[in-house]
Amino acid sequence: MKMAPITALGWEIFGWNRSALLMNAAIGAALGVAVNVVGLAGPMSIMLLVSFSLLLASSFSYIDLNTRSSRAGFPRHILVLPVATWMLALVPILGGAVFISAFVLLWLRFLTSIRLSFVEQLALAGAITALSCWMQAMSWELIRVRLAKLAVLVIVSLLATLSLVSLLSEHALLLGRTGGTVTLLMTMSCGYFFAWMALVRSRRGDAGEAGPSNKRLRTHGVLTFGNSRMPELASGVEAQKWYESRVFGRLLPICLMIVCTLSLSMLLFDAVRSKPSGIEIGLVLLAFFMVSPLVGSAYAWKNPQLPRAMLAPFFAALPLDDVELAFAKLRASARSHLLGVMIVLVTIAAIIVLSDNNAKIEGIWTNLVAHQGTVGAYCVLLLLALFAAVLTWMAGALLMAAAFYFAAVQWKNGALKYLVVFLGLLAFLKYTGWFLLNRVTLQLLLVHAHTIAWVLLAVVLILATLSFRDYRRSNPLAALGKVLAGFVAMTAISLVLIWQVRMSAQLHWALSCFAITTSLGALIPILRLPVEIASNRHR
Amino acid sequence: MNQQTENIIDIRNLSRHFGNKAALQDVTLQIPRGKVFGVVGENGAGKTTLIKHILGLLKAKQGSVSVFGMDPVQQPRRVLSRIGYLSEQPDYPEWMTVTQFTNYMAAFYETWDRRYATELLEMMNVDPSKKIGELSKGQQARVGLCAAQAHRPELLLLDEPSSGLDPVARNEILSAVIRTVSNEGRSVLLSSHLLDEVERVSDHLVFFSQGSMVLSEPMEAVLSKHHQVIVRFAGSLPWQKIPGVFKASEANSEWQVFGYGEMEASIHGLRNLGAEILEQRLLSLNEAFLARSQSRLPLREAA
Repeated sequence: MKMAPITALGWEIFGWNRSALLMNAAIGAALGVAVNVVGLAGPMSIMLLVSFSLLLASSFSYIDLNTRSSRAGFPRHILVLPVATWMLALVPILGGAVFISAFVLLWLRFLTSIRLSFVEQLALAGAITALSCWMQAMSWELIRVRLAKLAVLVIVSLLATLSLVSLLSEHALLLGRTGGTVTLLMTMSCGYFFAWMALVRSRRGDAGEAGPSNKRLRTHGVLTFGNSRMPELASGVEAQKWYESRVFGRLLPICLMIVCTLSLSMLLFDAVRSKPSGIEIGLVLLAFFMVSPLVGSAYAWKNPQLPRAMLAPFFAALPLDDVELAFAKLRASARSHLLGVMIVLVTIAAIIVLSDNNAKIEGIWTNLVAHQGTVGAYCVLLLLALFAAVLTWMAGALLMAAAFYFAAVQWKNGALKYLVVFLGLLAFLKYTGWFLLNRVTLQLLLVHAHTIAWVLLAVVLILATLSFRDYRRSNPLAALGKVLAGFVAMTAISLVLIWQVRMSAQLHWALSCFAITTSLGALIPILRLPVEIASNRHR
Repeated sequence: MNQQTENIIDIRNLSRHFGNKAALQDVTLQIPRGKVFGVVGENGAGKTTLIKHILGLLKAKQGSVSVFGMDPVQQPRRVLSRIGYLSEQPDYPEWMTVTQFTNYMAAFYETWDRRYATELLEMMNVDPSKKIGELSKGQQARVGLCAAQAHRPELLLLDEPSSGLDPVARNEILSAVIRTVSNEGRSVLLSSHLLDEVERVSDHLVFFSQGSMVLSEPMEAVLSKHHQVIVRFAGSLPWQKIPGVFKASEANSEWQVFGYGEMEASIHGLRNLGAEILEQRLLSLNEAFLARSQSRLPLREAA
């Protein structure tokens, strides 16, 4: 049977993504059913929708990814097919855009209270298509410099968002309806044109070639950001830490910089600047809480397109003990996380400075100072930042250990455990808010805070016993010395800050227990990761 | 020197299954210091699985693996720091320049010799300022060979190193590296499909077939014991009765009989069966491999 080129290409794309598509369809359906059954509130449902749409977008990125060089490109075997270049570009873009748009619109229709007219639905699909065009153009190596790609994507996302907001807004804010329509159409058609151009260059064999200006930009980038500078590596652990930082350490700061740049850019518009600044701050914090644990798990990736995380033979054969390998990953992730926290804090400060409407923030601060005094108020802020930073890092490190664990077990076991984790997460999302806001349960938490700390201490001691064999292979005191020092320092700082805050003795006691619990919790991935790496490395 | 320290690799009764497939079956192998061991076998014979066990990337589930008297799974750093490894498909980070890569690797090995690394790169004609991703496959293999060698490992593990090397590099560089290692009293385990290369550089040959080690002999013995006898015999030749004969095939009443051991003993056995001897000769390693790879008979030398 002879197929039309477009049908053959469609099948090729389906084959390329078969497992990812089927898996995403299953997860999407399960997510939809679960959200419906559990009845998640609107914002939570939207948050899940946004994160899942991003996952879908990554599944539809039709690229040949070379993970060793971190370079992508259009699959070469397709380039030699006797199909017009415009069609080669159109089919994957359209396939992805249609699938994602359909998913988003169905979700909004059945799982939220948002109702969109036909034109509004068309506008949403248009924005998704515009973004798909640009993402493909960039992933097909239209330009090679990553920083330039990032800048382009940030600008395009901003334009698409502004157009969409203008089209959906009843008051025709920002660009106005006509301006929004024109901008969206321009963004979409330019995106397609550049995607087509990237393929033309790929077919010519010069995609991603650095032209003279491109080379200058690269050189400038290297001089500015020290891209190719290499520190003196004193040991294998240092070398591995450098490698992990170089490959994975930039993910979180880059993701956060995109979100932060978008949030700050929105403040260029009067209409946004006059809205309460809490919206932008909320967006930045939401992105941080969602992205940082996920990026933490990236340190377990061998290949982002492979579902199974495993150590490549080259790294598995390096002369490092499993504990040292785990520590290199954890230290690199901690450093990157710290940088991420700094970016978020600086952005929040900048938003407050740039916004014209800080009334709510100022109100909260005034209240806090009135109750706590200036020192106490700063202590509260520091405590919140400290707990947020440690808890999100801990979540990422736990996900990293889980990724190694799931790769080492049979896939059926893994799938079962994923399901359990997934359902647990949903239940957590649904009931945590209710649990924490309920006076009775809050009181129970306060009364039994020390019990929770004791239970966690027991868990940590059990894990320490189980991990002892792996730690014994290295010098356990040398390996754990810094960790224990960090644990003591973190607990001490938290306790000092807590006792600076004016509150009841019961709250002091409960918060102190919480601080100790958090520090103990941070020990769990540290104890667990070497064991999971060992099971992955020595199969 | 006792046996424990003499043998740098000591594998006993090692078996490994992947699902229903037996990747290794009851392998027992000792590799002494200062020898070049060539490992040959068809695809899927178990060569890479054996090497992964030596590196500790696979855990011995049945049997034991000891490298330098240690378990490579229990003590990866101490074992791997004394091994140089070049894999069939080197998966080095392509974004690093060659200089960055050698600096990165140097941090892992206390015995890394920077001058020697530079010399090796010069000998292999590799531009140190280039990114690994910009090098050809052959050039990448040369970088890998340099990285595997620059810390002067006590054991050099080469898993199909020739797949990326061009003939010039194979003949000159690889042979030179292996000779140097061997002359310095260090050991090499070379797994390869290229039998002429294995024949040229190895002291000892190990032959795997379908997960089993069917032969482990000094190279000289392998070359002097594999033979072929062509005989005329009408009907079905009961060649299985002759010790050492592992394969025979017939065309127009002429039988090609392949044996291992004393050729005279095989000839004597064939004459006793009433066969007329037409031709007799020793086999090259290539011919022996082809004959062996279709036969899994256990070693039973012709006396």
